[in-house]
Amino acid sequence: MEGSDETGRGRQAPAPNAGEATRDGGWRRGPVLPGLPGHDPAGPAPAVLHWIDEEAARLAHRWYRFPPIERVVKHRGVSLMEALEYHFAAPFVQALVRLVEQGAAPAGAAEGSERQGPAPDEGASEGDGER
Amino acid sequence: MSTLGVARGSGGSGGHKGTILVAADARDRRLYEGLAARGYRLLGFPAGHAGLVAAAGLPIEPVDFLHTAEPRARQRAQQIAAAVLPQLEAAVRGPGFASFAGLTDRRQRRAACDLAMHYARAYLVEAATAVEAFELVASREDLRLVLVRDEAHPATALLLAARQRGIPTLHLMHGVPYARTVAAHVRADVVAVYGEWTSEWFRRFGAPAERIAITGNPAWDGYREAALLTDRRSIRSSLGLDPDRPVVMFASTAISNQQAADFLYPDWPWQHYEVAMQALGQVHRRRPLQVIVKIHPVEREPAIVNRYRAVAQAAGVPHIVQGGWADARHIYACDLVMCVDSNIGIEAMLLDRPVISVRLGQLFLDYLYSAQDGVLVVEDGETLSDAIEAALGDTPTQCGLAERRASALYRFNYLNDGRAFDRTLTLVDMLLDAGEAERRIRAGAAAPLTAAMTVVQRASVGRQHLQQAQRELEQGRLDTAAYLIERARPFLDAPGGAHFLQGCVALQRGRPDAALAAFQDAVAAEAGNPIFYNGLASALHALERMGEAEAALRRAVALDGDHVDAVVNLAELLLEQGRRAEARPLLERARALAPEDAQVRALWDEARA
Repeated sequence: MEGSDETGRGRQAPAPNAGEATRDGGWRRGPVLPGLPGHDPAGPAPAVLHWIDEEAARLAHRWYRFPPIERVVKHRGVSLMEALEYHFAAPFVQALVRLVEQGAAPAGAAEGSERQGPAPDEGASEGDGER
Repeated sequence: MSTLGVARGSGGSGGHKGTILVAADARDRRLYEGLAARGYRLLGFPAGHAGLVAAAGLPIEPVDFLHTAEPRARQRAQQIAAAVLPQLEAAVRGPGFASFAGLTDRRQRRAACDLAMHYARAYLVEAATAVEAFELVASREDLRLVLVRDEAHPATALLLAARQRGIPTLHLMHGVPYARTVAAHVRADVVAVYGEWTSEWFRRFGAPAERIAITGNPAWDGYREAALLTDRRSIRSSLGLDPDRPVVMFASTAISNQQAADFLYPDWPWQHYEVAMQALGQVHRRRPLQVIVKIHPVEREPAIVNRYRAVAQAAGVPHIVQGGWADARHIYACDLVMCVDSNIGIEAMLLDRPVISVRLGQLFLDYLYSAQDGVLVVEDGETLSDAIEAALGDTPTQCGLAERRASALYRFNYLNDGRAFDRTLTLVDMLLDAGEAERRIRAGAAAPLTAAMTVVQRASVGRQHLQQAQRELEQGRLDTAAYLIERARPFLDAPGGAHFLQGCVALQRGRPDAALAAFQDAVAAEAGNPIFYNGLASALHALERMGEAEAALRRAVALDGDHVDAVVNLAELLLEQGRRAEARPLLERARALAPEDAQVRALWDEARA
């Protein structure tokens, strides 16, 4: 009998673990996880991680349903963007990670707030089609 | 390889009943063989996920319809993409989009728009090609079903295109959906899942219950049965391990690059692994251990394997490193399995092994295991060694895990009766030909658990529950048997069988009063069943109410004179009371019914003495 080959969180799109060997044989590390000695409390908080995942999932599922988009991406009755939704989520995660790294952390997320989005950037309308 | 250009026309030429388009996957070999035996032609397409294999050896014909086989489809797709992209860009950059998408932050707006366009430019042609190619397949083949394994390209395009043509679709979600970013929505007509956990997951994100079918995981058929047939010491010896020293497996985890933690804590799996090895080292210094490090199959590079080895070595634990695809011997050899929220924990529970899931930092929104499962979830590296000690040697901890395992296994993998494959095949039958499926279920095929079931399906589901409860009872897993009996009740028209098994569990637990009540309920529910009277007599006998026990056994024998257990029990009861003359004709009957039965022979000798 064969064992299952489906183990670990990377069940659908796994990749070799991050990190790289250094010249002295050590290992380049990411930030120390919360709860471990050496963790930097100023590092990414779980609430921020959760916000990014939730927001990326929401965006990946939502953006192409904008009626003017839906109209143009339908081919033979199929939304070509919905067909690619699976592949949009990870880029959205990465984009939000970059924004958080640039200081655009969602308001309240670091304190575990239930707020679901970033703080409104009042007065910002340039280039967003919202004028 | 067949190409679409030479595919035959529709209508069943070649003697087959129609065509099924499948995401080729070696794990579904039995399913393909079953469908081929039913007379269906199988066309396979590359799915691009882990586990994908070349179709060689499987009873399917590969169609590379996304690339070389159909240049016309690609040309057409390129034309479509060229026409769509400018309109898409105008819509994304136009008024209303940001508020529709809830993008209130300027930088987020810009990033989302840029990103959407970047990926649309890169992949729109691929999606359009899949739709075009599917149309060509559908126009030439008598397509009866589309069967996918995940929603990675081109699966979703095919599901959506099939829906447009009214062709049934099935998603075999025989994995655990772990990230809402990629696995929260159901697009197939039906998704087949391991158990309630996955069903609840999809329903949480809005999937209607009617589109979810619970089958169990076919890959784990046989695991639980084999657990009782394997000798742990022999397996350890075969692996070069000390047969008498406890063995702990740590199964590593790979990142998916689909959740924020994968980018912000890019070596989180390593940190979990290092903490685990340090804790195992501490335990090893107190009580010698052996450790199996099972590396995730995607981590094959020698440098990475060496890194795992080096960390275990530094922690001072004797270890072996197992890379590549799983070898079930390793998990059978273990006394404890440690993981990071991996479904290998379910495999370990199937084998009645304790499980520790290490969870540092609450990095994710969703986790597989909770405190209600047969898993110790350890969130603090400093307490991990204590948890390992407890899982290996603390009886109350082990009993608590065993108790919770019954419900956890059901939640994750349904009945664990070795029939997940049968249920999956029946589900496919139901999508292909409901009438034929109903006939097969009536003849004994195992129906999957779905929200809306016919009377025949319901009866099958109830029967499967009770059959597995009985097996668990026979194997001494009383908690699991009792749990399955309770889960069976909603599917049973007549509750007699459930009451009877409940009585058997109570008897084995040494609770004859409870057993008596359950057997009385069984008899009240179904007065014509000799088995229930035999059970009733067992409880009465245990309570030393011999007269009533005799009456119950005489009732059982009157209902079925060939019920050998009742005949033998009645004879034995009479012998206990010195009534040999009355026992002899019963034993003569028993000898005729079961001439090889050692107990019957012993009683016969006693009656003649």
